[in-house]
Amino acid sequence: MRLSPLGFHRGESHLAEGECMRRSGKIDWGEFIIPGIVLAYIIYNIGLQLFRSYRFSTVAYSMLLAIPLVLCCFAVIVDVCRKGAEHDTSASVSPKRFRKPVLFLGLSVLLLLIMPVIGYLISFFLYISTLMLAFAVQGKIKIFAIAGVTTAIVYAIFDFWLKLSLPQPFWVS
Amino acid sequence: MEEVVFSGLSMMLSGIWIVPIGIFIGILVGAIPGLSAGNSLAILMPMMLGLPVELALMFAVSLYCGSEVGSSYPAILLNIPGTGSAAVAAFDGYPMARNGKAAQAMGISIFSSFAGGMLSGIVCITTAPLISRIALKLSAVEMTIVILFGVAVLGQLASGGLARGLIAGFFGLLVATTGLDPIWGQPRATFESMYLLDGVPIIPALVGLLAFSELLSILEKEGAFENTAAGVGAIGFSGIFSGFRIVLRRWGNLLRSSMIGTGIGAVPGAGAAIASFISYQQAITFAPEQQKATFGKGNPDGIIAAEASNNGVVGGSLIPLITLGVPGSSTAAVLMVIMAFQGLAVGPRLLVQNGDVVYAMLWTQFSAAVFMLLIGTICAYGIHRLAYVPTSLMVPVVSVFALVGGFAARQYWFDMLLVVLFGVLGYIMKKYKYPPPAMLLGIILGPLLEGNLLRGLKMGLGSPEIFFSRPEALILWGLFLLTFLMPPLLRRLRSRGK
Repeated sequence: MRLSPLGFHRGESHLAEGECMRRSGKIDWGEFIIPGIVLAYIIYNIGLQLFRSYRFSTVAYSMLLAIPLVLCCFAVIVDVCRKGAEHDTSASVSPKRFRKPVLFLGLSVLLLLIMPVIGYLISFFLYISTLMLAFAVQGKIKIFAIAGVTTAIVYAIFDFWLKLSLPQPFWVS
Repeated sequence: MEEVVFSGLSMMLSGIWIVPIGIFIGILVGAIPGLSAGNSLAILMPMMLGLPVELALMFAVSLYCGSEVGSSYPAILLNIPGTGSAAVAAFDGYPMARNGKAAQAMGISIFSSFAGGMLSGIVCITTAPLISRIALKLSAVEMTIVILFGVAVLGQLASGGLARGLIAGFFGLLVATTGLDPIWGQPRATFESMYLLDGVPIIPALVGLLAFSELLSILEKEGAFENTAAGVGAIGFSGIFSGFRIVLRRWGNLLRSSMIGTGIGAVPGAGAAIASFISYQQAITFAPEQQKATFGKGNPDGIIAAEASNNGVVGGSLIPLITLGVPGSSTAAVLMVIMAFQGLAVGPRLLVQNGDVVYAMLWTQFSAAVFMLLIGTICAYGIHRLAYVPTSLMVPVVSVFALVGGFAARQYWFDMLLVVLFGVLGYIMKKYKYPPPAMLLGIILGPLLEGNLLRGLKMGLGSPEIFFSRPEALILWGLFLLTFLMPPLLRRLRSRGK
C-alpha cells in the first residue's frame, strides 16, 4: 500500500468497509497525548530551572534525561504520521465505550472534592452506591448492602485497626 | 552466613500462618480477570505497611504465587484469561476442559505451578547470595549503568516498540526529579505544591499506574468476556490427582519450563507472559514430531510449559530485586516499595544488613508452593466462577481500596488526587502501548540513579570519563549494547538463513 508524504493511504477502494475504517489513513490524535504530556513536562521542568537560574549540575541532570525523551517522542510522532492510524480507530468511533470510564472518573473526582467536607464514611458510601446505580446494577438493597459493607470494612481495617487519619466530616474535625 | 539463612527460616516458620491467607487471596484475585498480582498488591499495600516487615513480605510473595495459579482457573475452564501468561495456559487447557478433562487440566496446572515455584525458589535461594557478593563490589559508577540497564530493558520489552518503552522509562526518571535537588536543595517541578517538595510520592504513583488505570481499562473493555463454560466437565479430586501424575511423567518439560521462567523473571520487565510464551514455544520445539500438531488442541505439555514458567518467574524476579535493588516486574516493584517504606536497605547491601528478613521472604516461596498445592486443589472446584463477578460491582469496591491505598503512606488528601491523576495517565499509556510499569520503575529508581550518577562523577573528579574507563563499567556497557543489538541482529540472521 502506498503512503502519501503525510502518511495517508492511497488506493484503498478494494478494502471492506470495516477495513477502510481502520486503514482510512486518519491519524489517531490520541497518539499524540503522551508525547504531548512528556514534551510539556520537559519544557516546564527544565524551563523553570533555567528561568530561576539554578546551578548547572541541577539543570544538567534533567537535560540529560530529556535528550533521549525528546528523541523518542520525535520518533513516535514521525512513526504515527508515517503509518497513519495503525491504532484501532474503530474504538474511537464508539463513544459509548468511554461512557463508563468517564463516569467513573468524574465521580471519583467528585468524591475527592466532597470527602474533606462530609468525611470518608459518608462519601465512600455515597460514591459506591452512586457508581453502582450509574452502572445500572439491579436491586437497590444489594447496592446499599455492598456500599455499607465496603464502608464498614474500610472503617474496620484502616481507621480502627491501622489508625489512619482518614478525612473526617467538618463537624467532627 | 548460615546463621542468617536459618534465622530467616525460623522467622518464616513463626509467621507461616500468613502464607495460606496470602495464597487464598492471591487465588481469589487471580481468578478475577483484570486483577493481577501487581495491582492487587498495590491495592492491599496499606495493610502491608501496617504489618511487621517480614510478615508483609511473606504475605506479598504468597499473594504473588497464588495469583499466578488463580489466573489459570478461569483461563482453563472458561477460556477467560485475565493475564497474558494465563492466555498461554488457555491454549491447551480450555480444549482439554471442553473434552471433559477439566479436572485433569486443573491438576496439571496446579502441580506445574507448585513444581515451578519450588524449582525457582531453589535457584533463587542458591544464586542470590552469589550475585549479591558480586553486586557488593559494584561502585556508584556501575550501579548507574545497572539502573539505566533496568529501565532500558523494561522499555525494550514494551509491546508498542522501543521508543514508547523508553519514553515511559525516561519519563518516570524525569518525573522522579520532582522535589528538592539532593545537592543544592533547589525545588524542581513541584508545581508550587508543598506536597511535592519531598518528590513524587511513590505509593500513590504505584497505585495509580497499576491499579486505578486497570479499573478504567476494565470498564472500557466491559462485555469483552463471554460465557463459554458450557461443556466443561465435572471437577473431582481423582481427576486432579491424575493431572499430578501426568506432570510427574513429563519432568523434562517441567524442568525446562521452570528454568526458562526463572531466567526470564530475572530480566527486568520480561515477566510471566513472555516466559510462558517462550516456554510454550520451546515445548513445541522439543516435542516429538507426531505430537507437534496436538498443541493448541489439548496437549498437557502446553499447560505444563505455561504454568511452570509463570511460577518460575516469581523466584526469578526476586533475584535482581534483592541483589541489585532493581525490580524485575511490577510486582517486584511493589515489594521494593514495601521494603523501602519499612526501612530496609534496598540495593546490594540488602542481604548484608537485612539478611534474615530477605531469607524469610525467600523461604516463603517453598511454603507458598506447598500451600498452593493444597489450597489450589481445594479451590479448583468453584473459584473460577469469580470470573463472572460483574465489573459494575467490582470496580466501585476496588476503587475505594485503591484510593485509601494511595492515602495510607503519607495520609494526605492530595495523594488520593495523585492516584486519580496517575490512574488516568496509566490508562492513556496502556491504550497507546506505553508500558506503565516502565514509568513506575523510572519513578522508583530515579533518586537512586541521580545519587549514583553524582557519586560516580565525584569519583571521577567531575569527569564523565570514569563511566567508560573502569573494566566493570565497560563489561556492563557491553551487555547493555548487546541487549539492544542482539534481537535485530538475530532477526536479520534468521531471515537470511530462510
